[in-house]
Amino acid sequence: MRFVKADIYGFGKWVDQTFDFSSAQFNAFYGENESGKSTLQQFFLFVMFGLPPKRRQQFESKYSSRFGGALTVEQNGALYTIERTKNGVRILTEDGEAPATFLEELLYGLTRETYESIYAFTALQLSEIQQMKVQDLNDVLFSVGLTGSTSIYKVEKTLEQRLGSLYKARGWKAEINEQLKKVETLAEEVRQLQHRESTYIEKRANVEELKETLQQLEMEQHQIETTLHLKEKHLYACKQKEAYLLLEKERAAYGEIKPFPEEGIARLERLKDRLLPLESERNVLKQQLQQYEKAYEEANATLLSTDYHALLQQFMKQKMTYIDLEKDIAHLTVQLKQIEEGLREKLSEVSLTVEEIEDIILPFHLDQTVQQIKEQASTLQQEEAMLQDEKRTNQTEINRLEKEIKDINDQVIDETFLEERKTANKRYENEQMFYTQHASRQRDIEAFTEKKRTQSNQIMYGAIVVAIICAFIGWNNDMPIFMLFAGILVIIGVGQKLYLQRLWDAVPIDTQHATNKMTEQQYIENEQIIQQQQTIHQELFLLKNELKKVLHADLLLDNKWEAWKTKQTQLQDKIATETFQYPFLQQLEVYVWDTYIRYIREVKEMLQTRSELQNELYTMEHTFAPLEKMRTQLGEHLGVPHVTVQQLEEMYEHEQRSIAKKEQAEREMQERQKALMDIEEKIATYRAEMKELFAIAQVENENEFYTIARENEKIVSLDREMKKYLSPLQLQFSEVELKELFASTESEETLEELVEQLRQEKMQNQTKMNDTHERYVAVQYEVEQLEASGILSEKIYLLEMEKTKLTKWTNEWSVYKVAQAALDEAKKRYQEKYFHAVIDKTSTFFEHITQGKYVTVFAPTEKLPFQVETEDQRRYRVDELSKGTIDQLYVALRLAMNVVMQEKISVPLIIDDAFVHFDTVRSSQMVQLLREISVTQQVILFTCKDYFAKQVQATHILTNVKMKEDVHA
Amino acid sequence: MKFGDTLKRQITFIHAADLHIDAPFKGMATLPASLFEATQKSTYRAFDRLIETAIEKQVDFVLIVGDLFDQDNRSLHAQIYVRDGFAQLEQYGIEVFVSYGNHDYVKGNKYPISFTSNVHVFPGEDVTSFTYVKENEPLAEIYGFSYENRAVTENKVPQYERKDTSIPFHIATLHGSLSGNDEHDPYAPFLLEEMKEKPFDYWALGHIHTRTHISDNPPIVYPGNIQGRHRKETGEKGCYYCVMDKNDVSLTFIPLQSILFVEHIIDISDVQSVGQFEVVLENLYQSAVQPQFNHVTFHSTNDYVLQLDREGIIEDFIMLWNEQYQLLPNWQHIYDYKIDFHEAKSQDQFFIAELRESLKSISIQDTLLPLWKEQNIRRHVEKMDEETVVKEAEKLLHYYFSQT
Repeated sequence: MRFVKADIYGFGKWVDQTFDFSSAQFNAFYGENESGKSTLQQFFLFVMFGLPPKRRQQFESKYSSRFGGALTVEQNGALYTIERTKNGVRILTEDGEAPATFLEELLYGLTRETYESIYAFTALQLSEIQQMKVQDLNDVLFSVGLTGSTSIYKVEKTLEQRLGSLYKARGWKAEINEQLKKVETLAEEVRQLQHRESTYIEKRANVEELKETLQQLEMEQHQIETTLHLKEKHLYACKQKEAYLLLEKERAAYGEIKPFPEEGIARLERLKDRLLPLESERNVLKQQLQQYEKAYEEANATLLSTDYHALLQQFMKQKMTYIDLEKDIAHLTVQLKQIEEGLREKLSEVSLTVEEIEDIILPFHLDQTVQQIKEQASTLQQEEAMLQDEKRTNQTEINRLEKEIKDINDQVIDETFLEERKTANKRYENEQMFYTQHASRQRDIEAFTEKKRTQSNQIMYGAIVVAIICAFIGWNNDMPIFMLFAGILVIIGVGQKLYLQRLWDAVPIDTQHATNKMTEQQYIENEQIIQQQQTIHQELFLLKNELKKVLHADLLLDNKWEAWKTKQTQLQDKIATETFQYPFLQQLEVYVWDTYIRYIREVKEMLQTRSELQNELYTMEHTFAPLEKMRTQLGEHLGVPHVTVQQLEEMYEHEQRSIAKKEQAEREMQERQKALMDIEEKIATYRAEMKELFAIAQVENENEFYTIARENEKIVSLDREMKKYLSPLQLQFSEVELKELFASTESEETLEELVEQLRQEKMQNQTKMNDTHERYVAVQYEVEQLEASGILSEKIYLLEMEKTKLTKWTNEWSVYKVAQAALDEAKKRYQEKYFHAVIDKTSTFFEHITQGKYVTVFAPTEKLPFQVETEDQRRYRVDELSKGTIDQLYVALRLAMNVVMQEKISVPLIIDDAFVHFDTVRSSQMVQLLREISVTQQVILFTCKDYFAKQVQATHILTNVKMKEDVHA
Repeated sequence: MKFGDTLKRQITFIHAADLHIDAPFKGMATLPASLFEATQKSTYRAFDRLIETAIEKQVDFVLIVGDLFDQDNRSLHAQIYVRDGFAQLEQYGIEVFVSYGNHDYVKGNKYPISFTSNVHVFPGEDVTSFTYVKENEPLAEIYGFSYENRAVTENKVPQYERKDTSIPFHIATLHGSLSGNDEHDPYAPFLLEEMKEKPFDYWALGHIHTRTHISDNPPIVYPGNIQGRHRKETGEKGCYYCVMDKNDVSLTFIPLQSILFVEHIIDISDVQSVGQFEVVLENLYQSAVQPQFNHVTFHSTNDYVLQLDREGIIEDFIMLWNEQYQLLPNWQHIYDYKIDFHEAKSQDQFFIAELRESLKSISIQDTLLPLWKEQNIRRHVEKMDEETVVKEAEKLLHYYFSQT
């Protein structure tokens, strides 16, 4: 591709500008600094690759509203115009418009970065080569065609890291390794579970086998148990069998049973049992009869005669009355004596006789009247004392006040004298006021004068100064008029001062006070006297008022006295009335009246009680006398003259007991006689029955009867005994077995041995059965477990999932690994393809530029930067070269890269002042080189050096005109 | 027996194959605990439905044409479960005819289970037959064979010969694939024409997991498996309910799967932002009538998809999506996704061009040797095919080198 024409609508400083490149392959632009070379370069790049809006702004033209432009290029003989404006990019072909995407094709998929790194270079980049190591050179090479900042190393590192975290040939700390471990563990678990399940068939067979064995054992056990049972039965029956046989032998000795009454022995015994108590009872009764007869006689002998028995009985009936009366009479006598004594005492206190007291009648309201009189008397007495007290106080107060008034009156001075003093003081005050006003006015006048004085001074000094100046001027310039003027000024200045001075001195200042007729001392004295008198008059007034009040109070008190006297008279009347009615009160103070009356009442009550008691005592003594007579009679009969009631009681009780005993004995005797007759009758009946029993057994007496009975009993007992042994055997054994049993001759010992042996066998068999059963259950359980267990299927599931996960990791690893390998391969191939070519070409160019001084360029290595070799095979590191040589090396390298790359993609080479440090010789070498390049590739060169421009025969001369205009504006 | 009776005769049966009971799902690296059991039991549930369907339809018999179990993963538990299921059928007088296939070949079974008497297993690799008798009358002859070893490579069709012509119905069962079918292992390969020529009323096939009618007259049918187990086994899975009389055969497909596999292919070339992607994913949800496992292929010509993928955004959103929908009674779960990136036309220059060239030229096998030489890895992992590796590596490099 090559540029044909550039139409700039507006870009930076360029407006409506067209550059034509069609005529030459080699285009050199010459222009001083700021002439727009760089902007033009930016314009090319902008049209091809665009710019982000922010960067675009800096190129928006100040002189034109249009922005952007068009670049016409030629590719494969066809012309295309790339137009880029604010509205975007358009591709115009000879036939019309191509889609925007065609641009990429047009530019061979190049990016701005690639273009800049290969096909464009500037003076600014020259120093880069010094630091360049192999890595950087590779970077430059590799970055060709890559987007932006993507670094192959970064990608390599990322791949490496991911691969490392996915899988490690040794160790576990990687995802695949760990996952593999997990999978292996699970797989092992699955294997084990599968193995366990593979034992299933075996176990099933085992179950069947055990089941059969168990059945076999059960049958055997059954047989043993049957035999054992039979032999055990024989063993248990062995003793019974022998006992039975013995009894059978004994029974043979007895004949048949003899005749005998039904339950003969029992009946006989019963009769005998009944006879025995009857006979013994008969004996007892006879004895008792004799005893009771004796007791009867004894009781009868101790009894009193009938008359005294009756008298005793009568007294005992009234015994309680007798005791009570005796006690009450004694009590009453004591009471009476006490009352008499009390009465005597009281009577002596009231000093009245019994008869007088009995005559006194005391109505119930008397107490109330007496109480009222007592209270009134007391109240009046209190009032009297209070009134007297008040009277005394009043009198004292009156006296005090009158004395004080008199004392103050003595201090009062004459009224006319006081008036004089007052008048004098008034006058003095008026004068004082006048002097104060006058002094204030005087101060104002002084202030005004002082101000004026200062002003006149200023005028005077000002006039003198101006005069001196005028004088000086006049003197200097020889101008007499100034001199004169100065003189006048001095005169005026001093004159006004003097005049005013005099004027002020003439003003009289009256500061003199009028003569005072009265001193201040006197004035103060007068004031004090006036005030004193005022105070005294006030005090006097107050005291007089007070006296008036006290006198008034005294008058009121006298009135109260009069009222009290009236009440006193009324009370005396009341007392007189009462004493008249109750003369015994006459001798007494009013205050003890109530107590005295209470005493009289008490005496009256005691008199009443005494007469009541006397009556009661009389009645009691009347009832008591006959009883006392009865007691005396009984005492004499019994030989105890003062017999007590208690003794009589004991006597009476003894009498009662003897009577009871006698009657009891009588009753018992009758009862016994009757019972005796009944028993005799019963005994006779039982004897007859016994006789009948003997007749049946055909015996005469009891002994024979018993012998027959015993024999019969023995026979029955033997038969029963035999049956007792036989019947359980009959229950245990069938008839056949029973016969067998009696037929068998096995001894007990033999049987015991046999049973023991069978029991052992049974036990052993049982153990075998238990073992087998246990095993059967265990295996059966295992089989069921295996059938029911879902663990295996669950584990298989998990394993599958973990395997999937592992596969995911390994897949990822594979992808990364392949990517890494491809990247390595690409790097290798790329280097082979371009790296060596670039370095070779650099050597060639460098040799050419340096005119054969340096012949070979060595690519930088990991440690060393670029090296160059001279003709005579001396090597220098790039940092050992001069600045100019370094620049030449860089230019050679960049040109080499460009040339190598343009073999594949050919676009214009843009160089911006890369040869500033070249001398003329090397510059011309450079120009020659560029011309050679331009044979196959369009070259666009920008330079600011005029000699270089001349060398290259610059086709485009850029001026600074517009720039200058800009500055002026 | 009169001729009229023969005409009236009718048999009903269920034709199923490739139950693969207890075989795990493929391609699932993780599952939330809440879905694990449902997933693990899914083949059992499908089997339950098979049994329920047979009972409900009161069929005469059930044909199971191979691969009842999965050899590598056959558990005792699964066998007992199947035995119990068949025992249930016995109670309803339903017979079962079973042949074993390449996945549950006879000699591979370490612990054969004895089935109830209603179950008839074809004993070996020679074609044999059982007679189905109903009400003391032989009604159908069922032919078939079982795999004794891992593979049967010969054509078995010539061995199928019709016996006893007095029996009204003759049904052949065969576990194998059409000769020349490259997608599947060529087990018991058969030729369609040859099969059609044989005088059988129905060819009940097994082995191919996709439901297929190879022929209508006579019916030659693959019922497919009863429960999908990976992303390629999408859609409804189940068995055929067949009603057959002398004149006609009617086939009704009955879905049995307990979890549905669904494949979504979405073009996200227009997606320019995370927000747009979120919307795309959200639109993926459609209410379902049963639990569903989803696999998504994101197709794009825009390399933004690579960025979304590399930065884990796709994964994150799928996680959120799953959290949202996997707790529903008819849950949905995206268990995996794939990026199908086709670069728009581009001109690679210099290094990138070299990189592409390198990808084509390097030896993938040698490159991957460090990992694949490990025996443990080889034992557990299936190698990714080279073409895919290269494609993925290209995507990866594209992603890294297009980053700005």
